[in-house]
Amino acid sequence: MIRRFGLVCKLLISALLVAGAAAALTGCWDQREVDKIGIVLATGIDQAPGGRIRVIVQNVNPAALGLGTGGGGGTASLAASKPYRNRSVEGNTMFEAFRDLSRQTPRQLFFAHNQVILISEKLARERGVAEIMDFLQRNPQIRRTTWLLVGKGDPAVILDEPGRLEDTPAQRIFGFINERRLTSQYAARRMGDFLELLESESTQPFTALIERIPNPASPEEHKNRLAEGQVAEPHHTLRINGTAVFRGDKMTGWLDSRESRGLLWVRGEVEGGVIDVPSPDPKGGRVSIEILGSRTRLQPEIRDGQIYMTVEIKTDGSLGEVTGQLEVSKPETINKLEATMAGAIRGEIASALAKAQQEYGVDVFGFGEAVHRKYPRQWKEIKGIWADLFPAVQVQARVEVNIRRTGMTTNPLRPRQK
Amino acid sequence: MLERGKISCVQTFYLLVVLVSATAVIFLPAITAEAAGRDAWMAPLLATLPGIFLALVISALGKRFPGQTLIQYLQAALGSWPGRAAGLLYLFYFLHTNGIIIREFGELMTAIVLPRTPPLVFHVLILLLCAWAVREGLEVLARVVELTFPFMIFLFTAAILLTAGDMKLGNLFPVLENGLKPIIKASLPPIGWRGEIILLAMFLPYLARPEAGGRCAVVAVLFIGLILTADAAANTLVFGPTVARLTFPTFTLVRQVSIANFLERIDAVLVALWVLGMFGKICLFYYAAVLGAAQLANLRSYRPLVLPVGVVLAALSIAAAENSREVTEYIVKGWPPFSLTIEYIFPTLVLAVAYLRGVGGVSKSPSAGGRNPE
Repeated sequence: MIRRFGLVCKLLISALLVAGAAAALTGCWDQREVDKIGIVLATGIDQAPGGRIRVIVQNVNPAALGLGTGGGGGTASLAASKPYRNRSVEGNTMFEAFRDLSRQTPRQLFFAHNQVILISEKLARERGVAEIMDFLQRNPQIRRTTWLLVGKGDPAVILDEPGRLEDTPAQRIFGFINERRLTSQYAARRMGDFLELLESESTQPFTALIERIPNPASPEEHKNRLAEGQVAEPHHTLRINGTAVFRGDKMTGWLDSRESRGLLWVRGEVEGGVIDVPSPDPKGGRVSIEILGSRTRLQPEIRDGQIYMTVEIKTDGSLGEVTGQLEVSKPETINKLEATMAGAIRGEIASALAKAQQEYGVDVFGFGEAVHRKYPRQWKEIKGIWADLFPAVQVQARVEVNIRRTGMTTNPLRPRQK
Repeated sequence: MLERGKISCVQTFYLLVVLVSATAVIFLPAITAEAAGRDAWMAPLLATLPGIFLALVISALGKRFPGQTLIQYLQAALGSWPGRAAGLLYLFYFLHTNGIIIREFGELMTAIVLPRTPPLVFHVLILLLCAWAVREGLEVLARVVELTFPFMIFLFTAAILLTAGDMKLGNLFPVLENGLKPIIKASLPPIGWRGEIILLAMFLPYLARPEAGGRCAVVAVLFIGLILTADAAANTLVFGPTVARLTFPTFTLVRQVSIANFLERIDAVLVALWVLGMFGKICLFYYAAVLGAAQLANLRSYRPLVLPVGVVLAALSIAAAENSREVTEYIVKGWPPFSLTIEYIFPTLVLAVAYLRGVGGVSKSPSAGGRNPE
């Protein structure tokens, strides 16, 4: 009898435990169901009057994602099939503004999938970015691997320029950056890397700049294409254009595509791209060479109170296009091309140096860190005046180029008939 | 005997490694980087030397008082009443430190994983689990840790290796820019952390071969040094000296992992691994407190103490600090002097006193708990 009772007790307790576990294991406090959160794909940050901050978030519209764009039938269905929604709000701080958005979004914003942070050029130039970085770093949902870009003009405009291939502008911009090695003409930073630059003793921050430009693929006569029953090319398009450079937390200048690649060469971050050089053939023509990657070593030297920096670059190339009548099949030609390409690379570096050293006076190259590493003792004395010393650093670039391949043909095409 | 289980040398190694590394891996890199900057990785390396010394002291004490735990031979070495007072001090150390450890666990879970869950929920859940393990005894606990240890090491190694793409070797240089002094200062918290192996003195008699315990402990200390140095170095390699500003650097590190936009967001894996480690650590401190209290009070079984001590621990974990900053501040400033005294100076003194008074030795009859075979 007593044993029976014990058994019943055991069973009861087990049943209670199972029920308790079932109730507790659903994770009642912090549950977030996918259909209850508003997934943010991009965040724009701009300044607002009265020292306030304006934030723009791009929410994905999951219902529209599966449908595909286009599909005829009135503006109402077009709106329903728009795969994203942008919302904008102002606040005294980022956090306040983001939370304030809940008054106009039906779902709680979820930042863990945010792919792009877009800072308006105006805010970067006038207010500086330090005050907005705190929230981005403190919030556990925002990842340091998110790309951080500077946008020309209103971020809301840039973030409302969808492509046709990607569903949202956020994915479109993310796609650009993913293919950065095809040109290596801008220096985009992830938020974590940008933060490290902001906190660096000597290296100044920089990141890529994005802008919206009139779409050259949308000619004037196609303005009423929709009336003809055709889908028109959008009137504007997005592109990444060079690199914004900062002094401290304020944007102070801009490097164009060529100068940006000069910067990347010095930093050893050129992973690809096309370099165009005049043909060594006396009759003229041009040669475009594909860059196959690079390695860089910075070697500082302090001699007689003067700082010298030797930038050693090794890179490989492959012929991509030849115009004119260059004898590609001769090994000497390859040697000549290698020398020409090395010269072109030195030219790109010189253009970046001219801007950074003479015009803006910002060490975006990491020269200070190289000096710090090699001369830790002297660095203690000069780190306070590094900004003044940097423009006078004597830089010498040593470039070693190896052209490995010539593509599917050797000598260029030669039309026989006159 | 209060504890009838036996554990092997390898299990001792697992227990000690989990004991020290579980919290140190997460919190240490920021603490050492704050004092030593980019040389932070040297601090845990330096802390290995005192760790080895302590392992040898514990081993020598264990040989002098075979079959006895720390709480028992304190009385033999210092005399009955001073020994009991010292025993109480150690009980306080076990309870107090465990309170902070449980608090660290709750802090991280709320900060990173489930922000709106009250921390007490985590504290109580892990304590319930640990109460079960402690009730079952040392052998069961050691087997659980043995079972999970390979996963922990594998995941930790994988996490560090996957961040290799973000590492910049230049972040480590120049080495020793500000001399040795900041590194010595930075090594104090890791020395305190390493000193937690004093818990070995509570279970050394339950090793299958107690005389080999010292050797296992030295190997464990070396291995801990390897883990913590790799951890600190990985953090500095990825973040540079800015590690100091991160609350949970190793987590931030793992969040950084992004292999081909495909293998990313593996921080949840690290949380799982860390919960396993914290389980082992909290259990061992819990076990030491319960066993020590039972031996101090000459109880025949420690089991009735398990739940009450658990309640005390839950209360201590909440009372330990007002907020997360206080926890870190205490670990850096308040805890090292206390822990260094309890973990290093005191056992060394006890060994010296025992040697001078000529107490202890193989022939000595077992005292206290040993006298009450069940």
